[in-house]
Amino acid sequence: MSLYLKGEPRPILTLMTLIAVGVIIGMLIKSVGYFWVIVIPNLFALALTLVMLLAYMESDAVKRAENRALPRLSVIIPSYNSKSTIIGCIDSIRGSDYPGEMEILVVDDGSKDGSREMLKGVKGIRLILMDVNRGKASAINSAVKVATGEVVACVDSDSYPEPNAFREGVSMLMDNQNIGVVTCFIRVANPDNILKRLQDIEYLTGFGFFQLGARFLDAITVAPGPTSIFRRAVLEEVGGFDEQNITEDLEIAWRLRKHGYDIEYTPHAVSYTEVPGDVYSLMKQRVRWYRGKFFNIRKHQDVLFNQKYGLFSMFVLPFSFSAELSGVALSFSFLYIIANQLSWTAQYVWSMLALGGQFVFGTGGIVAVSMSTLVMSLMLMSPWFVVIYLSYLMGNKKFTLTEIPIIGLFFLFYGLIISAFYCITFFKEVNRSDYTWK
Amino acid sequence: MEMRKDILAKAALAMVVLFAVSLYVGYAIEADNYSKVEDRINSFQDELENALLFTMFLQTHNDTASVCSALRTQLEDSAQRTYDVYGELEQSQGGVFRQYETLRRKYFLANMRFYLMVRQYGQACNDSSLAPILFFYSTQSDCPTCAAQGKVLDDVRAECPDARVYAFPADVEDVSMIKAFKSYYNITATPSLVIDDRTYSQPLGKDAIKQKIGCR
Repeated sequence: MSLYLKGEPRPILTLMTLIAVGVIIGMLIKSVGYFWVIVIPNLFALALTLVMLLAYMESDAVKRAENRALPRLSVIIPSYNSKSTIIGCIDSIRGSDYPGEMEILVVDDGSKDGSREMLKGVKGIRLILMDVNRGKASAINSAVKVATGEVVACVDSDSYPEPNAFREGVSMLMDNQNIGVVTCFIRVANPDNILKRLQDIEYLTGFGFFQLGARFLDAITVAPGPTSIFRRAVLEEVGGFDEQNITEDLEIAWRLRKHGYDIEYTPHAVSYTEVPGDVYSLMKQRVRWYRGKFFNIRKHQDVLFNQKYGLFSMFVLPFSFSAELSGVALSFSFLYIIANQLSWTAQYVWSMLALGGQFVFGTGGIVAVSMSTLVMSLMLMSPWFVVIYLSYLMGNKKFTLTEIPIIGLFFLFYGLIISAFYCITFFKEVNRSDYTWK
Repeated sequence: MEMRKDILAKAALAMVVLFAVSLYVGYAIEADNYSKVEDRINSFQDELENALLFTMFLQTHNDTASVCSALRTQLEDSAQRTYDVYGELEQSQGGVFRQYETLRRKYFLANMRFYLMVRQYGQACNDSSLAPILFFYSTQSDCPTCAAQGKVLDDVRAECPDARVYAFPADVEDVSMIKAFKSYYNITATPSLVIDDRTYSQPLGKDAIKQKIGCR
C-alpha cells in the first residue's frame, strides 16, 4: 500500500548514496582506524543507555494493583491468518483474573488460512468479520466502534497476556484520568531457538528495563502492539488508530502525547508474544518497525525537539533515532572489515597453496585487535552489561553462567544484524521504496 | 511531569568519566606495551654493540681462532632476539594511540646492522654456513602474498637452523638505509627475496628457498 509517499523511487540517488557512504566509511577507517569509526556512532546508544540506567536507579518501584472494582474491559484481538496462535491467545485471555466484566472481540481481517471458519465455532467471543483485509489498525478501529467496555485492551493474535496483566494494567489506568494508555512488559513466547533467545534478551532490555526508565522520564515512545490498554473514550477522542500507518502502535503513542495524555507502563502486566524464528522474517519485521519511525517522524515533525513534550521530544526520540541511524555507519564499517578480511584471507590461502607452505590460521590482514582496543571496548560497553543484568532481574530470568554465550552472541552477532536492518531501512527510505505492512 | 534535566547532566558526566577512564586505561596499556617493546629493541641494540666490538677486535687483531667462535655464539643469540622483537612489533598493530613507526624504524636499522655484521662475520671468519636471506615486504595490509611468503620463510627457518631471515618493509621511504638496500638489490616489487646477492622479485616456495641456501 502507498502511504503518504510522495514521488517515484530514486534508484540512482540510492546507488550514489550507497557508494558515497561506503567510500566515506572506507576513508575514515583508513585514516583514523576502525576503532574510532565504530566507537563514535555508538556514543548515541551509550548516552541513551546511561540516561536510562540513571532513570532506572532513581525510579520508585511501580506499585501493584489493589483489590478494587475495575470497569468493564473490551479485549480486542485483530486476527489475520493466525490459525496457529489465535486459540492460544483467546485461551490466555479467558484465563485472566480480571475482577470486572470482560468481553473478547475478535476481528477477522479477511483471513485466508482457515482461521476465519475456525473462529466461527469459538464460543464466548464477539466475532467481527471483515470482508477484505484492511490492516490491523482498521480492524481495531472497527472493534472499538462496537466495544462496550470503558477500557479497551488491544492484544495481537500471537500474544498471550499473563492472567494478572489486565488487572494490573487497568488498575494503573484508573489511577489517573489523564493516562491515555498503559503499556505492558512484552516478553518472548517460546524462545526455542538461538534467534528467539537473542530477541528474548532484546525484549527484556527494550520492553523491560528501557521502558521502565522511559516511564520515569515520561518518555515512553510506543504502545506495543502485543498488548496495550487504552481508555476507550480517549481512543475515540484522538480518532483511533491511523489506518495508513505501518507502525500504528508507535503513531498512536505519539498522537496521545500530542493530545496531552500520559503514557504509562507497568512491568507487572506481562504479555508474551511470538517473535520471528528466522533472520528473513526478523528483517521484514524490523525494517517495518524502523521505517515506521522514519514515517512517523515525517508525519509528526513537531514532536522532535519540542520542549512541550519533555524528554520524549528533547532527548529519547532524537537520541534513539540517531543511535538507529548510526547503524548505517556500523553496518558499512563491519562490511568493510569483513570484506577486506575475507579478500585478504582468500589471497593469503591462495598464495600459501601456490608456495607450498604449511597453512596456519593467523590474525593477519587488517583486523588486528590489540589488548588496549579490547579493554577500551569492554569498558565502554560496561553500562550495557549492567543493563542486561538488571533486565534479567526485572524479568525474573535466571542469570547463570550458561547465559554468557548467548549474551556474547547478543553483543557480537545480534547487534551486527540489527545494524544491517537499520542500514536496509535507511536505503529503502532514500529510495522511497513502497511501504508494506507484511 | 517535570522534565528531569538533572538526569541528562548526570548521564553526561558519567559518559565523560567513562570515556575518559576507558581512554586512559587504553592509553596506559599501550604505553606499557610500547615501553616493553622499546626495552627489547634497546637490549637487541646492546647485543649488537657487543657483536660490533667483536667484529672490530677481529679486524684489529686478526685473531680469528679466539673470536670467531664467540662472535658466532653472539650472533646466534641475537638472531633469536630479532625474531622475538619482530613478533612483538607485529602484535602491537591495531593500537589506538601509540604510533609504532618510530620503534619499527629503530628495529629495522638495528636489523640491518645485524645483517651486515653476519655478512662481515662470514667473510672474516671464512664461515659460509650461515645463510642470510633478505626479505622485502609491504607494510600495507593489502599484501597477503607477503604474509604467505613470511610464513614460508618461518617454515624454512624451522627446518634449516642456519637460515637467517632479515625482513624489511620495502614501502618505508624515510629510512635512507632501506632505500639504499632497495636500490642496491634492485627491489621493485613485494615480496622480494635476496639470497646470495641475487634478487628474486616473485614469491618463492619452501623447496626453492631451501635449495638456494643449500639446506636439505
